[in-house]
Amino acid sequence: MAAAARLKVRNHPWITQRTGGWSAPSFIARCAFFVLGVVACGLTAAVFEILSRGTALLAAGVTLLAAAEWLILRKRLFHAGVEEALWTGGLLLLAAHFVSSSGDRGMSVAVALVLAVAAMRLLNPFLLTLAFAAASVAIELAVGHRFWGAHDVSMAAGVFCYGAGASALLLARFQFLRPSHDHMLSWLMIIMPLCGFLWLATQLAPAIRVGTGLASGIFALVALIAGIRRRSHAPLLACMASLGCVAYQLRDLTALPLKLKLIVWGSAALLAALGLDRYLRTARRGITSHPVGEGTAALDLVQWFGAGALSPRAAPQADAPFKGGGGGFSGGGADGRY
Amino acid sequence: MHSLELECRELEKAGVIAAPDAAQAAALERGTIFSVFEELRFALYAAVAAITAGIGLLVKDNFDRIGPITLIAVLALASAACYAAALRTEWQRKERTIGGDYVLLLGALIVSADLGYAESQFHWLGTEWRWYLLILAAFHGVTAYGLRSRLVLCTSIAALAAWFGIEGRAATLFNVGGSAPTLGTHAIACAGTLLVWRAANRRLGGLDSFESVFENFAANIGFWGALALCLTPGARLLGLVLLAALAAASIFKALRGGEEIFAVYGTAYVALTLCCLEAQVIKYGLAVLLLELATVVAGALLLWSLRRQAAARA
Repeated sequence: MAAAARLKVRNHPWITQRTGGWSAPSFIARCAFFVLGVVACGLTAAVFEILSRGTALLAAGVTLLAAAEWLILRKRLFHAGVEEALWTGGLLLLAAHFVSSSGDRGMSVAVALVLAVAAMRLLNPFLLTLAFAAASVAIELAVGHRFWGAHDVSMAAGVFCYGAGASALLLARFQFLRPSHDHMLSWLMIIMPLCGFLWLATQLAPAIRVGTGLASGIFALVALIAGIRRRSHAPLLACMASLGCVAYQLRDLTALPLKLKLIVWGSAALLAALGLDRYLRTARRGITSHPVGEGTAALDLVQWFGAGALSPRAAPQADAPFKGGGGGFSGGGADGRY
Repeated sequence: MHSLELECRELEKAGVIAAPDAAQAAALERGTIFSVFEELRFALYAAVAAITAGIGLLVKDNFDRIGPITLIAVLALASAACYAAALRTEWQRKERTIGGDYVLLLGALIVSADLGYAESQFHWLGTEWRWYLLILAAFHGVTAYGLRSRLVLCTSIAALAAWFGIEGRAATLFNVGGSAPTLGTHAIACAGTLLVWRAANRRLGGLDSFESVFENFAANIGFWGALALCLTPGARLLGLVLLAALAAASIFKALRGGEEIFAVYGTAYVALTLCCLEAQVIKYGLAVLLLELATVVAGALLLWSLRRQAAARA
């Protein structure tokens, strides 16, 4: 199914005959089904809240889990979005029913476990990444503030996130039976270092700023080497995300105002990307900047709407009298006022 | 790392894919070919977004030390350099790379910033200053056709939407007593204009690759407009009629052209709009919740059925 999806032949009769009745929609449809599933979870919980106040969460959780399992086992849905939302929502409601009285720490541990179980059952990388993020919250609530004396430093949570990202990067070199396991590691290696950085980015202490900058820089370098050697996209994306973190920590390197920093750093990134594009127009050791194979419709859509989002925003609708020096214009990132 | 090379070979043997496609897929799986196109696209977008944000802040702060004339001239020179690179590629009859595409987009965004800044400084259009957005949309439209750029076309459509007063903020949709009714009608008018533009593009031999840009923007803007009207007490009926018409058109397009995304628009937008409408109209708690749940389930079932049919057509 993974090969058929990658080659866009998942609806070929030969494939349909051999998938044993299992079906998986495209990424865009999966997202839509997931949103509809999340809405259905919320509405089911609200219905049971009215019908049976005392056991609403338990009843709603069991109902949603039963519905999700029915969709998986009987209707043979795999990565369809809706069963993922129902399964996760149902288990979260059950967890909320049983551990609601155990405080923030107990709840965050329960949420992390629930998301991890759901991720394993559904082979969903997004849920596993959320589970690790929830686990970092649990660690932060448990021990985070004790590591750095009197300062409010989320060191343990940050180290956990960086460690999870590094472990994923290391483990991804092994061969796994399922493509889903690869995707799980890919998500972890991209998102977890970012989470680790976010836990520590608010700290202004020089040691922490240097430490996070160095950690992100080293991770970016290792990920870049791994990405090139393994010919894998996820480490390269992880490298780019970590380079963003390094750039953020280097924000005070010059005394330039924010606008000029954005222009200078943006221009540097643009020139680097253009240089790489030019260099790789001729394939170097098989690496090329040309698109190979068919592109994905979802990324094209994101690109178009992204380009639209950078454009000027709305002009005021009312026929308000003109104000000297005023206006509604803004470029990307500005707030729309002069 | 998982490799699907064996599966690719199996698909080739079964005649599901052609031999060249199988060879290419196997090479990709082995890593003998590796494209960094998407990574470059991401990096270029981030770079252009940073530069545009910086320029936005620069013109917002007015930069008194430089002065408006100098700032306008510098921005004009920067955008001219970006357009010159695209024109050079065009004259050399070469295909523009992804980097060239984003440099051109940057040029278009700088023009937008420059023109907006110039208008705010010199008030050429007086009280009708918002027309500069239409001028901008026209300029970007012409350059999009001249340089065959879908990204510049997106900026043109965004400027047109801005001229119609579409803010792109979800909060305004739920501002029933405020701008939601006007926003709804303006969004519908904008979507209609885009469809007329698309028809003209097709009739006058425009670029085929632009059609999907028009269609996706028109569908999204139109559905947001219908949603805004459905949430406005005095305009609900009109909103529902427009919602039904848009849904029918989207589903028809999905089934005829095998484009799954339009099945998603035609069902997901309708289900979510009806849920919002039901919550507004029906006061009794359990009834509205059950109705909303039924709507969502019906929407999911319809989408499942439609995407199968659309996929079979593709």
